[in-house]
Amino acid sequence: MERPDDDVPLGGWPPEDEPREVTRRTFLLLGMGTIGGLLALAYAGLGLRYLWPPSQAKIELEDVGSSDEFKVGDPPVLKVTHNQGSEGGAWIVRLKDEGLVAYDMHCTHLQCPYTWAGTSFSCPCHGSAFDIHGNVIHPPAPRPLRRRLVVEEGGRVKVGGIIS
Amino acid sequence: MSRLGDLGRRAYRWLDERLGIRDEVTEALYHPIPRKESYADYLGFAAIFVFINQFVTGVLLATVYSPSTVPTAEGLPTAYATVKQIMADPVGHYVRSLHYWGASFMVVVVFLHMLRVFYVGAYKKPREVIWMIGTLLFVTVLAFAFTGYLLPWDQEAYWATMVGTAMVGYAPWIGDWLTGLLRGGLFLSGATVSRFFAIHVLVLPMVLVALIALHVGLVFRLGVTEAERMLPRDWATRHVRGKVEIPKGMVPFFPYGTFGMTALMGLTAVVLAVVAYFFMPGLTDPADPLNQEHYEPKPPWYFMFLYQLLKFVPGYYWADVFAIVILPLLAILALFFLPLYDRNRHRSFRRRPFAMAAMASTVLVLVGLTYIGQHSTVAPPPPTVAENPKWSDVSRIFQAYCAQCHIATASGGLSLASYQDAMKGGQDGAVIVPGKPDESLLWLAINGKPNPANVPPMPLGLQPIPDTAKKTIEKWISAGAPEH
Ligand code: FES
Repeated sequence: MERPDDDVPLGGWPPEDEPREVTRRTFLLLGMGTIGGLLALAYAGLGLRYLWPPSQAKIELEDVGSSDEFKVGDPPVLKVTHNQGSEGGAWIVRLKDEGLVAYDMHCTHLQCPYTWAGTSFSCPCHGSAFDIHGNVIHPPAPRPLRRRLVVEEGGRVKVGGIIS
Repeated sequence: MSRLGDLGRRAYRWLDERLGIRDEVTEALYHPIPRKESYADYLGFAAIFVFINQFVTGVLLATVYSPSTVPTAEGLPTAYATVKQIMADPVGHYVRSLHYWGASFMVVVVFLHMLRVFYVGAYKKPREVIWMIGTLLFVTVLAFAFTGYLLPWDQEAYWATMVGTAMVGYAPWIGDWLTGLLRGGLFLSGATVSRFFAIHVLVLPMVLVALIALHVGLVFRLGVTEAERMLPRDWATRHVRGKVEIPKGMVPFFPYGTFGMTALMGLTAVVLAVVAYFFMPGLTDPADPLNQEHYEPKPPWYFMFLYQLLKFVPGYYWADVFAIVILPLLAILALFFLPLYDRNRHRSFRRRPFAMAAMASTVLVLVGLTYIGQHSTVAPPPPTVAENPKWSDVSRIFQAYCAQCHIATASGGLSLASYQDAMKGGQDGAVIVPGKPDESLLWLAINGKPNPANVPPMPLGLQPIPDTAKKTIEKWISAGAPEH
């Protein structure tokens, strides 16, 4: 049983018998396309703006302990921080030559948590190792440990965001 | 009975007058299939079944689960606590188990479906677009698995996702920004959980349903591949809507094919139900961003091949970019465009030696990497000092504590896979000096002692070797490191 509708030719666009110039139809079509495109762009922009990752520039200092907790010669200590809402931590150590330094606790390879293993930092995921200055002594980590801002104020140690 | 049937027929007619669905239903139900069928042809239906399972159990889980990391009264992160709450009730635990295993089933079934389609050459003209949509479906399934994995917010979930999202950071130029966008911050936080939840339960299901509709709709429109030889050439374009002609040698899908379909879907259901019943998933400790318990991150099995692959990559930035970003991207593009660059017109595997070899080697590599990855850690040896230690005693210790770097690979040139390898040593020369533990690099390294080669304390960042095991190794070296 055939449907009568099937016999009506639908025709393609643009219709062959119409001249190819800006007719009322093409104008309407272009207009609709433009408006639709603009709306889509607007929503995409809105979404991106909404989800945009927070800027690194806002670094708030966090108190992680008193100055005399960190002495030259002591092993690095892991301290909890709340950098931009994501809980994390920093390994803090007082070096003879560099003074107080803070390393972000995530490995520079794929951000697994490394630990202090007696004479160096080492990462369980793919075996990276770093010396006490944060330099890579065993790959695959492609770069030294990330350092975080660390300041001493009135006998307190405060840690900020990543600076290197 | 007949009155009920009558009512049904009238309801259908009433609906059809308004929706005009009869043609589509007829075509879907009665499309011609070959008389001889294979159960592997119904793997797509099995995938649809697993999707229904994921949908139903997912909705149930979402009624209790809450994507937040704010601590509850007991001090647990809300997400973790709600998953625990679900698991406290046996039915809830089973629902979670079905969802958990469903994810693995989905990956397996979809993968097998793709293999089957590849094997019979069903992606060739005119079904190229069906294959391409299928590739997108595969990627969507992986995205489901990846976003769902984080939601319980336990140690396993947290660290797997930390590494997974850090991988995105290796995309040249925009990597860090993309990672930040995914995480909603520098590292993982409550923002990450809510983002992943929104993607997992709102975005991906919509994408999946739309793609499935296109995928399946096109299969009905173009007919099944095996039917091709028997159908007239212009069958798809010529045939009249709502009227199905069944050529000689073929049968309509209903009722001939529905048996195979139901059987395979039913089998999948039973296996899933049984597996989910006997292997209920647990929870590790709640996510600890400081990882004070030294949890060792490990990916779910379906991403294990990538994890294992990364261990073979040398430590250069661009090597990592290649292995982490470019290689997987190329693989997906190669899959997507397969029907366009595969110019071989034959479907029979006999006449596609190159395609078959490519398929076999891909499967081998994937399975191999997954296997090695899954077995890179083994049960620890007994916590006692061996009496007269031989190679077999120390080998067990090496397998338990050193395998990742010195058995699966030969980090620093040192392999501990066999007695000969171990005695040969690595790039710094011999590591075992028979009779002299104090001069053996291996013994110095596992005890974290200073050594001439400046080897860091071993095992690097892994669980330390227990003292009893160290004693066994010391005794073995002192006794001259005997093989037997
Ligand atoms: S994440 Fe540390 S070595 Fe890979």
